[in-house]
Amino acid sequence: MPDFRAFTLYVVRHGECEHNAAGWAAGHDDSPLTERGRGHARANGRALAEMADLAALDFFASSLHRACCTMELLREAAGLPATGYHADRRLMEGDIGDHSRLPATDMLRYPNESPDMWEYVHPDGESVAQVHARVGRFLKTLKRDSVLVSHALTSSMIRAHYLNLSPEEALRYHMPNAGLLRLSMGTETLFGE
Amino acid sequence: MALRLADGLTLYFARHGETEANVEKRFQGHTSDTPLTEKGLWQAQEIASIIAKCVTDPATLSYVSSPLHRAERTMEIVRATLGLPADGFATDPRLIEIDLGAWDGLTHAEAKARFPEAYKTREADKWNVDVPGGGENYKSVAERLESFIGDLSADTFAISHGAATRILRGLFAGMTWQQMSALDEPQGVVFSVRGSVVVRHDPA
Repeated sequence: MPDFRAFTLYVVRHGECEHNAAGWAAGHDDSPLTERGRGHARANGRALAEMADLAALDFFASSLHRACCTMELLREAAGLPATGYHADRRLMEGDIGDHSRLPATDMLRYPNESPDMWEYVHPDGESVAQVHARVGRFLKTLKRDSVLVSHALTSSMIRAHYLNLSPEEALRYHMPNAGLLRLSMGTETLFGE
Repeated sequence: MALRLADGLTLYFARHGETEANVEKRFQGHTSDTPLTEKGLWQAQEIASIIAKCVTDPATLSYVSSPLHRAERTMEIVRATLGLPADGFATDPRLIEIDLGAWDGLTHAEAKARFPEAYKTREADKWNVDVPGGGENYKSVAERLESFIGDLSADTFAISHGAATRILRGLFAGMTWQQMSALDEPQGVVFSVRGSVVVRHDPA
């Protein structure tokens, strides 16, 4: 089994969704992409078509609606059929359980109750450590260069595995709705800032 | 444990521009230094344009090069293109390419044919096995690069070499020697580091 770090990964966060626009934390509480978010997805599709050999790629999306929708818009903008990708639950956003629909900025407050931001488990949800572990299990199944459409925390965890980051360094990153992060040869490049 | 740059610092680094030996796909260590090609000269200018985009005032960086000619020549062109005095840089032997001993100047096929046993032994453990004829192993290169990184105290632009920059990227990413060995060695691009995160910057 080849190590996934031998592959190039194109990491995309879903385009802006209504919860993002409202400033809410989403987790597993889904909402439709905004018009702006649909534009983010299409822009990433065009960028991907310019930089990669599409026929040599596998395509994976989180099984949440906003990620699958982003994947389909991205694929169409890249000149591919909308379908023809895999949806995988291990790429779903971190489950923040009862904290869904609270102001996104409040999320920084909860780990302060238990000082460990990595291990803190949201009520009826998950910890960052659990998300890190399931993303790691997913990455081990990759067989070649891949496009991974997921979420803010999930993208940070993909990056953390690829770049071998400590928890502190992993949590310092925030994946934008716009832009495509290429992880290749031990390095990262963010396109379309 | 992955290598980390001190908090608050940024290191930029690049491989020298293309040389004649690169075109002929020959091992190029310490003794077979060859001139930059036309393409190599142009790549040095590309490196300068990337630095100019990444750094508000390139004059505030420290500049340090491997003491080999191909690296110093690349550095001179980078600095001149940035509007800085071409010779205003330091050299540091810790940035020099891996010593390729008796293989210097040979192609892979030639080295394999002339040193079949040593070639095989090294392929099995590049971390510990020296290149024959006084050459180095990856571990020795890694130790001098780690020492260089540990001594940095200002934002710096460094020019080094193919194998040395692969090993450096691998150290920041916590890679095995096999993973370091499989990395690419692009020319005319810049890598930047903060903490242990290496970012690749391509020309526009």
